[in-house]
Amino acid sequence: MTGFRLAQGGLVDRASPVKFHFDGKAYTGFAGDTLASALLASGVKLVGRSFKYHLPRGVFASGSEEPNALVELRAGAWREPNTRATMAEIFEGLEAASQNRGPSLKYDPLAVNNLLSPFLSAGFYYKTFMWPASFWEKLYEPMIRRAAGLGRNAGLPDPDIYEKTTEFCDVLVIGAGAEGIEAATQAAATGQRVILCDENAPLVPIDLPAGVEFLARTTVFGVYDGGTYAALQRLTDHLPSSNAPRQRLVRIVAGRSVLATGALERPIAFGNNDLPGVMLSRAVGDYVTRYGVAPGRNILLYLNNDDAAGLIPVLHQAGVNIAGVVDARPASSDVVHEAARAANAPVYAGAAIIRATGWQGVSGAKIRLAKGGDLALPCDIIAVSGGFNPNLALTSHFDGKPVWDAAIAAFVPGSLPPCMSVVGKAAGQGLNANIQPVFHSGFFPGKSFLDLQNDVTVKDVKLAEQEGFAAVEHLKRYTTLGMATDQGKTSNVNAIGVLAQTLGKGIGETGTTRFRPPYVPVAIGALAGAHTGKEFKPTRLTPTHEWAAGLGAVFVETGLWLRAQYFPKPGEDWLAAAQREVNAVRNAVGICDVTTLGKIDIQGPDAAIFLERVYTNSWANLPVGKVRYGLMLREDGFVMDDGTTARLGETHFVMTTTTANAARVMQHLEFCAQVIWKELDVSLISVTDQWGQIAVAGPKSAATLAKIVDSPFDLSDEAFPYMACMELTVCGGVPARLFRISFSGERAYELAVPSRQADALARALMQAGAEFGIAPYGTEALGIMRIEKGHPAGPELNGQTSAHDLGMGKLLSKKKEFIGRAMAARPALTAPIRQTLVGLRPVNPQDIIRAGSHLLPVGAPAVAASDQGHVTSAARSPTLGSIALALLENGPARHGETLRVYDPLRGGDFTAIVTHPVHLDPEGHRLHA
Amino acid sequence: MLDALDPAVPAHPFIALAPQRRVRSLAAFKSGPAALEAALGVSLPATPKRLSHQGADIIWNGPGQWLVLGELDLPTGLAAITAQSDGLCLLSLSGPHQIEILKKLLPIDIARFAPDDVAITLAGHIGVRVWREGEHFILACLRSYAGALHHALMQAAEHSGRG
Amino acid sequence: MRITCPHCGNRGLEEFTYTQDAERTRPTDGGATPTPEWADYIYLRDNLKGPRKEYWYHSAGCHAWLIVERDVSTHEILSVRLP
Repeated sequence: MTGFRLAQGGLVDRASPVKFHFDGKAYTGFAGDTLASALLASGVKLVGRSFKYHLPRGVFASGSEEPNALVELRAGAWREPNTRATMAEIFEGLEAASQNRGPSLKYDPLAVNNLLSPFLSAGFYYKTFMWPASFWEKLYEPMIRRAAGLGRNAGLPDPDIYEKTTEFCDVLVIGAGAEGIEAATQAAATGQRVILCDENAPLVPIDLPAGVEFLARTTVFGVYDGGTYAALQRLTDHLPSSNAPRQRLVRIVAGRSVLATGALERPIAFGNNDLPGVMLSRAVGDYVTRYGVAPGRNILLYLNNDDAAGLIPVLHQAGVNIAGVVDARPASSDVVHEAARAANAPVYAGAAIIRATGWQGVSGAKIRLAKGGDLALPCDIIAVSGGFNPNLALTSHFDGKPVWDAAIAAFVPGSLPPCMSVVGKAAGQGLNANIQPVFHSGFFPGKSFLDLQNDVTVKDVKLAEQEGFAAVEHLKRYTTLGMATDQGKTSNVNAIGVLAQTLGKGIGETGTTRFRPPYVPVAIGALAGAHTGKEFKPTRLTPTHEWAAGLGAVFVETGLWLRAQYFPKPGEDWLAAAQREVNAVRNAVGICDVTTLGKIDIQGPDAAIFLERVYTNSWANLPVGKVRYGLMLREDGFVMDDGTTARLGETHFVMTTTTANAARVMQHLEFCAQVIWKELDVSLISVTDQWGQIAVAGPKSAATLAKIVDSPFDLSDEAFPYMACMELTVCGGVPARLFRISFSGERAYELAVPSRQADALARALMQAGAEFGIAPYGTEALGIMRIEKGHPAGPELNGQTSAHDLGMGKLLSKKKEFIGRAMAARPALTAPIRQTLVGLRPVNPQDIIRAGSHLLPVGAPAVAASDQGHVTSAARSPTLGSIALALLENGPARHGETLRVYDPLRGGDFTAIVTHPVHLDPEGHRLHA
Repeated sequence: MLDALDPAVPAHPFIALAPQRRVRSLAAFKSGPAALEAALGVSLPATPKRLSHQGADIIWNGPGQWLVLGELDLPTGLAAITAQSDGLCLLSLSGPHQIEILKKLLPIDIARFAPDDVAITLAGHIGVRVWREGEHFILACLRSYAGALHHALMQAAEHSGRG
Repeated sequence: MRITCPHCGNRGLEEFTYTQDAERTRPTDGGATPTPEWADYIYLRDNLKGPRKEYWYHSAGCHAWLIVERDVSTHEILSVRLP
C-alpha cells in the first residue's frame, strides 16, 4: 500500500499547502486535508499500533468511526490522545504522534504480545493473573497498565478555554448531507427556527435559507429528556493553539429533531484483516473524491452488495488500477459486472478472501474461488464492504432498541425518542441493494478481527459464547468489543452476526447493545466550561470583606461564602490569633461580621401564627421589641435549624437561620406557606444580602456602641435589656436594626445596617472601640467562644439529633401544633440510651481533644461495640485549655464520669471527664457584665 | 469620528453597574392585591413582565410579588414592603453581541425575550432577575454575588462576536 | 429534563429541586401524638412504575412549589399544577 496524491480532483485547496509533523517527520498537505488524507497522500501506511496486541495499523475509514488511526495531537499541556486522524483538519505547524508503541512505530518490541496471544483471548483479564492474589496489586496491575494503554494524557491542567451556551429552536436537524439540508430547508420555509448540525466542516459552501442556523464541526452527542440535546462544537481544533475558546458545549432545546446521519459502512472479517491497507470501500472513495488521494495503486474490492460497486467507476476515472472484485454473492450482480467491465476489472463471483498477506501492510490477498481452489492476488489495498448500517446511535439514547431489517440486512431504528424522526439512509432507505449478509468470510488462518480498536477477533466471540456469555450485553463486556473510543461503530453488527450464527439464532433475536451518550468522546473541559478551579462555584463576599482583607484576615470557605477566619498579627499562627481574639472579646470588646447567617423578613396578618407553626416554642406572646431563640424541627421530629427571631412590629418579624441552612430553611418555610397552610396570609422575603450585620461583643460592647448610636436611642440596660431589639439610626442617620443577643456568652449586640454601609460601620466601630482595645474576631474565635458556652451549632445540628439530645426538650410546646410535633413525641427520641449533649475536659491538661474522636468506657476494647458516642466540637480555649462538646449515651446522667477518648486516625487515646456542656459562666452572669 | 465615540452606543460589549435607584420588594397580602392595585392606580403584572408607572419600574418578582425601582408612594397595610436597595446588585449589559453573551449564561430563550419580559433564572450558577431597559439588559443578583456575576459576564463577553 | 412552571414557563431541571413524593396526605389532627398515620406520612412510600405525583420547588426561579405528575419510567411529564 503506498498512497499518493492524484494529479487532479478532490475538494482540497491545492493552492494552499500546509506543513505538519507526524512522529517528528515533516510532511506537506493541503488546506482541507485531514491528517489521515495528508498522510495517505504522503505514502504513510503505518499510523499506530493496536491496543492489546500492538499490531501495526493503518487508516481504515474516513470519518469519526475510524478505529485505528488514533494519534496524539499537539504537545505539552495541549497534548490530547486518541484523536482520530480522519477528523483532525491539518493546520500549519500541526504536530501529531502515533500511539501505543515502543520507541519506534515500525519496530515495536511489545508486538511480542502476538506470540502470547493464545493467552490473551477473551476474558483473559479474568482468567490469567489470578494467582497469587498478592501479586495483583504490586505486579500484575502495573504490568497490564503499562502494556495496554491507548494514548497518553498530558498530565498537566487543561490550558484551553471552553464555552457553554444554550440554543432554542423548533427543529434540530442532525447531519448536513443531502437529506439533512432538505429537511432543514423545508422546515425553514414554514417559518420555523431551524438549527442544522454537521460533525464536519463542508469543503464546499452549503446554500441554506435564512432561518437555518448552521453549526459546522458540531457533533450532536446526546439526546435527553424534554427535547434537550447536547452538541459539541469544535471552534478551533482545526487551528493552531491560541487563547481563543477551543470548543463549545451547546445545549439545544428543540421542539423536534430530524436525524439525517446517514449510514456507516461495515466490513467483512477475514484473516489478518487488520493489516494496514484494509479499508472500508466508501472511505477509499472518499479519499479519492474529497481529498484527491489514492490510498494505493492496486486496489482489490471485497463486497456483498451493489452500493459498494460505486467505488469501481470512481477508481477507474482516477486512473487507479483495480486488482479485482471479489463478490461474496454466488452470481455477483448486474451492477457489479457492468461497472467492472467498464473498468477492465476481473470479477470473482461467489468467492471469499481467506486472508490478507503482507508484512506491516497489505501486499496481496489469498482468495477461495467459488469452484474451489485458491488464488493469490497481489494488491496493496483491500477495499471491503459488508454493507451499510444506518447511523442510529442517537435513536437509542432513550432505550429504544434497533430492529433488524432482514430485507436490507441492517439494524434500523426501533422506537424513537419523543419528537425525533429519521430520514434517508439513517432510516434504512436506499441502502444495501441486493445485499447478501456476510460477516466473516469463514476461514480462520491467523486472526479475523471484528473490533479493531480493542483487538477483539471472531474467535473471541465464539469463545465467549462457549463460556456462557451468549447474551449480547454479556458478550460486549466479556470481550470488550464495542467498548473502545469508537464504541464499535464498525464492529458491532458483525459481532452480532457472528454471535447469531454461533448460537444458531436470527440476528433480530440476538439483538444489539444499547447506545448511550456521548456518541463521541467529549473532553471533560467542555463539560465544565468556565466552572473549573476556583470558579467551580461562585464566591459570595460579605460587605466587610475588603475591610477584613485590609487587616490581613485569613478567610475560610463557608459554603459559597468567604468569611474571615482569624486576623493574625505578625508572628501569630491561627491558634495564637484566635486565642488573642477570644481574650479581647472576653476582656474588652470585639467585632465580627455575621452577615452570612440567613435573615428572613416575615410579614403579614398571620406572621405570628406562622411562626408558632414552624418553631417548637411560643411566638404569639413575644412582645414587639423583643428577640427569642427559636428551634425548628423537620417533619420527622429531628432538629433542622435554630436561630433567633425578632419582633419588630405586630405583624413584622425577622428570622435568622444558620449560614449553612439559609436556603434550606427558606425552601421549607415556602413549603409550609404554599402547601401545608395555604390559608395563612404571610410573606417571606430574604434579606440576608440587604443588611450587613456585625456582632459587637464583650464587657465594653455597650460603651463602644454608645459612641455611634444616634442620640434619641437609649441603650441602657433598663431600656434595652438582654434579648431586646429595636430599629434606630447610627452614625448620624444611617437606618439600622439592633439586637441584643449573644453567641459568645458576653454582653453582646448585633447591629445591622444596609449592606453598602457595613464597611464604614466596621471602621467606625473600630475607631469607637479603640480606647477599649477593640479587636476584630473571626470564625475561629467565634467557634471557641460558643464551645466554651456549650451552644449547639452545625456539628451538633447534624440532622440526627432531636431536641432532647441537645438538652432542649423543654422548648417543645405541649399546647400547639408545630412542624415535627407528632414525630418528636416518639418515645425513642427521648430514650436515655440516646446520645445526648455533654461537655468534655481531658484528665491530663496536655491532651488535646479532637472532633470526631469516639467515646468508649475506660477498659473496654476499642471496637465498634464499645462505642458510646463521639466528640462533635472541640476547641482550645485560652483560659480553659482543651474543651469539647460531645454526644454521649445517657449523657446528662454521667457528669463526672471518666471516659476513654479514642481517635485511631490521628493517634489520640487518652481519658477525659464528662461535664455539663457549658464550660464557662454557667449562670450567664457575663451577659449583663 | 465623533459618532463612533457616542457613549450611548458602545462599540464593544459594556458591563457596568446600572444607575442606582431605590429598590423595594412588594408582596401583596392575601387580602390585598385588588386594594393594592386600586391604591397604586395600576394593574400589577400577573405574569413575568415589567411596566413603568409614574417614573418607577414595577417588575414581576414571583407570584404576588414585585420589585419597585424608583421613588413611588407605596400604601402600607396592604402588602409587605421590604427595602432591597442594598440586597440586590444590578448590572447592565450594553453594546453588541448581547444575545450571544447572554446565551452563554442564561438557560432561557433570550433571543425571544420581548422588551417588557422579565425572567427569574440562573446566570451560570448565580440566581438572577433579567429584564431589558432600552438598549440594554439588566441582570440583578444578590449583592454578595456581585463580583462573581461581573466576572461571569466579562468572561462571556470576552470571546463574543467571533461568530 | 424540563418542567413548565405555571409562572415562569418551560425551564431546565437545574432550576428545580425535588423534595418528596406528593401522593400522601398530611394528617390534619394537629400532631399531638405520634400516630401510625403520621409515621406513614413521613416514612412510607409506594414504589410504583408509571405516573407519580411529586413535589418540585422552583428554587432558581420564582420559588413556587409545584405538584408535578411524572411518569417515572418514561420521564414524560403529564401535568404541573400549583398546590
